[in-house]
Amino acid sequence: MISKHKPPFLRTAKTVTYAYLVILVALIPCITGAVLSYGLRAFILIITSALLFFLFDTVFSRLVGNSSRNDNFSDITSVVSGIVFGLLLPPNTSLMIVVIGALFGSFVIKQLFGGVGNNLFNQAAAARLFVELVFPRYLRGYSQPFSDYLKVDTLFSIKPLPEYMAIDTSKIYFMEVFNGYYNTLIGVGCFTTIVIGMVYLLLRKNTKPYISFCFIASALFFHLVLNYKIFENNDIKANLREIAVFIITSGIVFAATYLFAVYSNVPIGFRGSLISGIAAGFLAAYLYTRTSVAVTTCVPVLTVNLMTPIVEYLLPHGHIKKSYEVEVKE
Amino acid sequence: MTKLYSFYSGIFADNALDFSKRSSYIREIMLERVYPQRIIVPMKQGLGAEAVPTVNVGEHVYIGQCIGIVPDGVIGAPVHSGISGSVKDIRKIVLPNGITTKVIEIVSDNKRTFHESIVPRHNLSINAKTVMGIIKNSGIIGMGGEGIPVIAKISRARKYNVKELLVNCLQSEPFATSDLYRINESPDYVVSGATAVAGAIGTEKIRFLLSDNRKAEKEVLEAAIERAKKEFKLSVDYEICLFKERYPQGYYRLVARALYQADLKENDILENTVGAVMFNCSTMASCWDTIKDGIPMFQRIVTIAGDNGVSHNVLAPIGTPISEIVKSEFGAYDSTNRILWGNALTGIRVKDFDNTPITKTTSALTIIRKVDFPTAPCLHCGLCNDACAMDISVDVAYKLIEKNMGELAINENVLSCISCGLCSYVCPSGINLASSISEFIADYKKQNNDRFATPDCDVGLNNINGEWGSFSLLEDYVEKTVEDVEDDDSIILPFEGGKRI
Repeated sequence: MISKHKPPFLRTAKTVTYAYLVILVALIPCITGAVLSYGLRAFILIITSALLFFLFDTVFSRLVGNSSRNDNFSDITSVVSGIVFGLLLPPNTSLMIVVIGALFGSFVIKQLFGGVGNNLFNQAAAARLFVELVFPRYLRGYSQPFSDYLKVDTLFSIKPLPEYMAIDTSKIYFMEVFNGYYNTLIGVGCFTTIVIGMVYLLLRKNTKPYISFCFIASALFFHLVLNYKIFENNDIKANLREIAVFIITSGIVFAATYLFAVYSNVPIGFRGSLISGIAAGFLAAYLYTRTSVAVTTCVPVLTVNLMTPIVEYLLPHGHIKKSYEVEVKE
Repeated sequence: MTKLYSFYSGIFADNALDFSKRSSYIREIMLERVYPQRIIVPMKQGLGAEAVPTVNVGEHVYIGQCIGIVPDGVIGAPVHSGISGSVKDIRKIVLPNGITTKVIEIVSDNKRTFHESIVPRHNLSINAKTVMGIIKNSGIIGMGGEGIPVIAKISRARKYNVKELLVNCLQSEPFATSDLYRINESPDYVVSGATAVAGAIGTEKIRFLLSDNRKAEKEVLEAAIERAKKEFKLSVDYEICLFKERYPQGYYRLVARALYQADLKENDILENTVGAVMFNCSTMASCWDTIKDGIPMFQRIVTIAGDNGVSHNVLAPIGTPISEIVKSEFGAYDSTNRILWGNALTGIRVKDFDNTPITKTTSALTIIRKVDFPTAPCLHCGLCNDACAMDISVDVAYKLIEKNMGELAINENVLSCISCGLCSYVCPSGINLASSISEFIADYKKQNNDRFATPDCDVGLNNINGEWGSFSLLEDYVEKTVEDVEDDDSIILPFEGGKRI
């Protein structure tokens, strides 16, 4: 139990609740974009997911007896996780999948590890990967955006859908890709809104920029290396388009913005961030052409989560700062 | 383009700890004078031995009268009365920082009579020996916090033949403005005091360390330097070094890092590493107070400020109880406030206002609203590490200490902690990092017989043996009293000719 009322008696106003409120605000453009693209069902999916994560976290933390609910700490971490989980779903996903994801995320990933700050894996990413791997055919509810705004029947239907088919972005106009007019997860399509969220988090200094930028840069690098054949045509315009499409559609910007913004699962220092970011970038580039967007988004994040304690243990602590020797006069 | 010095070389967490730019921490610089009805003067107020009372209960004392002396050869500072009146009691108290000391309680006669020895010095044609004698007898100790007697620091600086005198004008703590007030109000005293001490040490280079955003203070200092150059026959080279505002830049090891690119270890001192000695600007002004006006150190400026809107400076006699100072502050005693002995980040909470006096090192009394900080588990955000000026892996060290693995915590550089409180301040989870680490260090050093372990390193008279670790301030001090120091340096201060200031 953490004791109170010890000096200094002046503390920052940027508490944990504040930090997560900032993330919540940064999510608003993305939520808005998702709802504008997919209508009522996207809204219900996001809200239900947030509520369920909050509800299950509250219930399970009391059942397990975790100490994170002490004092006057307003825990909104589960709300943030719930929203991110909701944004990582295809628009035509059943609410049953949301319930299962929230149960797994809250109980197994978070509370069994000890609650806020103690969970090894990112709650939203782990829950999303879990439902993707266990119920793959129930998470194929992709549909064209900007249509069927009031359609909600998919939320209540439980039937397997066709196997995942990677989108052929070469057949879509670039501006359509940029504006999210292609089949993808409800939060990943709105690239502009994600960038707005990222800028906001950076301005608020509420993210760990090292890991995010290392991840994006190395994902881009490995994409060029692993898919060098695509870039052999010497058509600069086409190559640039391919790079831009990769950045927009792979979900790496979403992961860098919202999944690495959650403090507890990523390395603190620059060196740890660099190593983890490179590993995550490699995985994102490798998985991009081989599996679904959800896997491309979540696996690198969970890998970083797993690497964090190892990297932190192996690397020397402290910052990279100049050290100057000084001669002592006897 | 002016070069800006800073100990901090990072990018992202910068400016977060520049309290001077945050409106909620900016306060008016005003001054009030406090005439207390009684004072409780501690015989030990900083580093060194406790002074021995020279007055008895019932005796009448005057303002500026010496009421406690330190025997020759012992590091310490004499004590003077800040009010005229009669000695009511001599007893022992424990100061908030843990120092157990005798105090002399004096009740005011409201006549404000000065002691006959308090007279301005008309002949300022004085040499180094005289300056040292004056400073020693006036009981001036470092007003920046450590409370090292100035005479001891001068002796050490002379021993190491330092090349530069640094005047620390970097007051970056939230709300605190006492040093800035002193610079604004009496810049000539700061400059002249520094010049006198530089002469006593034998150095001809004085550098004033100031934050770059203290523009008013920079201008008044520049003007004072120009006046000093015109008034005196000087061979002293003055320089104002601008620093990036960032708490706790004023700490000597961080000054060394910024100014000389030198990483001082835990027991290193400026004098034998970078060839400089550093004094607080208020200390320098007090030196000139005593050299020119004959006023020993019986009063000081204290900032009364906090987050409840209270804000000003007071000139109060040393030993004034906190209750006498804050009684006029509207709402200060409100049960929703905490009164801290010291600044907002390192201050100690006071409960007995009537029996807790201000000392020569008390630069601020902070009135902070009682707030229950929301506490949450550690989020592994790393803000504590980023904020730490001493490059400690705070989160790792804290966890190791909490799990009773102190030996491993030492590997995380934890002994370098300067207890600035920043890690706790920035922690979004509200974890008491600084206090845990400080308590651990205190226990560790106590177990390892380090006399600098705790604030109440009670160095009684019998404990002085001249071997005070590598920190020794007694070098050239135990055997040689001021009178014994040879006047062979022929450093005549620039006040020859009896020029009046």
